[in-house]
Amino acid sequence: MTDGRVLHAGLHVLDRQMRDRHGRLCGKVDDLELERNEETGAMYVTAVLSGPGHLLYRTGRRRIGTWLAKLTSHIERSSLEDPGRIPYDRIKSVGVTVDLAIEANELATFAAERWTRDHIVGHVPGSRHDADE
Amino acid sequence: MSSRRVLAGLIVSLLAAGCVAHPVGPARSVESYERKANTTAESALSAVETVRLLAGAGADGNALRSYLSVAVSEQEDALGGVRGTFMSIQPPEGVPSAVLRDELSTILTSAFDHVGDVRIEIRRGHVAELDTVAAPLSLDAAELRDLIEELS
Amino acid sequence: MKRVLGIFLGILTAIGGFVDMGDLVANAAVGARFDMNLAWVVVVGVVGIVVYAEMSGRVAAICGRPVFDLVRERLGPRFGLANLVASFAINLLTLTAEIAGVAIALSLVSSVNYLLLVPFVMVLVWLVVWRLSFAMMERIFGLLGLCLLVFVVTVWRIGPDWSQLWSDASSPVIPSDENVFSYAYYAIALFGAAMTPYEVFFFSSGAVEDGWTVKDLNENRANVFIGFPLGGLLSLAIMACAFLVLAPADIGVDTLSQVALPVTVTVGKLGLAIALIGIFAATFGAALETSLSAGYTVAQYLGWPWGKRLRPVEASRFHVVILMALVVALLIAISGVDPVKVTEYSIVLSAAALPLTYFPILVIANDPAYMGDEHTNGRIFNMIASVYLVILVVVSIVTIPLMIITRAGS
Repeated sequence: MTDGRVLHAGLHVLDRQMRDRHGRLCGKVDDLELERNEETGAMYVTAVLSGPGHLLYRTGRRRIGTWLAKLTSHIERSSLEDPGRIPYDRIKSVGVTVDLAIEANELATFAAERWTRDHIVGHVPGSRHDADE
Repeated sequence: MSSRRVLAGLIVSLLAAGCVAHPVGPARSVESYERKANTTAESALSAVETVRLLAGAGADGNALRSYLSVAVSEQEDALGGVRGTFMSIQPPEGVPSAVLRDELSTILTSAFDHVGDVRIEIRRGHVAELDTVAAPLSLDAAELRDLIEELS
Repeated sequence: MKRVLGIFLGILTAIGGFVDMGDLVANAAVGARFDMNLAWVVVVGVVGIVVYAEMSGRVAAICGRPVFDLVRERLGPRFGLANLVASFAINLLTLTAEIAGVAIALSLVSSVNYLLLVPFVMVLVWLVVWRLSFAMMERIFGLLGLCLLVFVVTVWRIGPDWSQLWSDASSPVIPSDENVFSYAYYAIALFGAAMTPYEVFFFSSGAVEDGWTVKDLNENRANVFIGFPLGGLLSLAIMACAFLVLAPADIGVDTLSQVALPVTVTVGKLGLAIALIGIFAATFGAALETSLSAGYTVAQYLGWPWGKRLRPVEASRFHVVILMALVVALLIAISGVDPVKVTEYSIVLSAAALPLTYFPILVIANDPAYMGDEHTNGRIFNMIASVYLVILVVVSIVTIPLMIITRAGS
């Protein structure tokens, strides 16, 4: 494993806004998956966790959190195995926002957005247009 | 966790404040009954004076009829409510409280009737004569003021 | 030319958006009951909102993100959630009050019972949020809100003794028939009405909707330093009208119609009509701002796409939250609960929750990681802002006890 960038996970990554490869907002970094490197003893961030349930899990409500996360664990046409878990190699950059190299609709955070769009908002006239002057 | 408690605390406080804001229970002493009578008289005076101003504005051609109609109805409802609340309070025993109750009841009924007259005339479109219709209200107002003076 | 127009329009927004149902009712009620002895609170409130709105606009211009969006990452998800829950609940109450206010204003020109108009108003508000562009929204309701200047005209027409008025306002006393508790309670209510949290949420998110960048910092300052004080002037005019016309007649303000009474008595039908248009615009504008704020706060906490600048299909959850907030407000309003009472509760509870809203703004505006080294707060600015934060904390602590002691101001 190469030396990773040293970041203060709490300050620089957690709870940051994520953007997909097109710059669209796609949720916040709810939790981090960490692994310890056996040789150096340093902790590495191996994945970013985001989506329903992960924030709950992190703030202590583990059972509801896990249950919610399972609900949205399957998304069609996602290049991710687990749409709530974004492996660190899919992250383009970490700065003011965490920019991802994938599409928003591959993420668990998008499941509710898609459902709402298809079942509610999409049916209302005018929803596909920009607001007129 | 703490956010739930904050919300619960907010709700409880709201309820508490709401409960305390409308004391319609029995008056335990002559003093507290007089205080409630005083508050009632002040609210009634506010309604009566509002209607007098509205009637004056109507007679002078200074107000829209829809505005007059709604505004006077609001004051009529308020007056009715205030009267109803006061009458439902259990007065303490004794002649002074009974006398006070009668006196205030008479004035409130009179005011309520006169405000109703104004409302009726507005709805009929007789806005120019509102001054005359509202004239009895000046007596009601004077009586309320006298009562408030006595009670303070 | 376009620059000038930009400043002009932003100012109009601040005026129209600043004098909402809470300010209308609170200022008139206080003027009728306390004469001009609480005028100083309006001034204190205006300075506070100017300072904090400038900060929240600056944060949005420099970071490209509104302050509320940054609360979770800067202060943690727990604080962010407390902020969100409190703000959302108060927002909902405020939205209810504003919708009722619009319905009442319409009832005063149509004689239709306001309860019947509430659903119509809710649909209208939703339609505007759905279809009208942000810029048009600002212009229309800002311009119409200027009609409230008729209250200033009314004071002029009454022709009071100006030196007397000034000395009354500048040397406040507690009136003989009031006690210190009710005085303090109404001071807090007025303060809460001046610094209602949704104002900064909306201003900050609106700055992002309008695409402000570093180049727009001067526009931000103009908006804030001219718009809100003008709003304060309107508030004081409403207070003075109530003092000059209603107080002498022993009238207490507990309906929206009474707020316009001094205008109709003094200026006549035309004045009344203009006042009602102004009241309609101000409350409708506020309904738009609070419903949008409901969407902004939830979406920004959770990282959803948000904003009127996106097509609704691109921000579906944001729009659904707004719709749900409108429906809840509709249900509360239509239950017949007294809208003036709802208004009073909403501004007093706002006062209790002020530190939650304003503390993050001060923290973020001082953080060079977000603002860059050049645009953090200057020292004097920081001193004023910190003093205000202390005031806000004190106000927050005493609000609920005062509410109980004074039985909600009766």
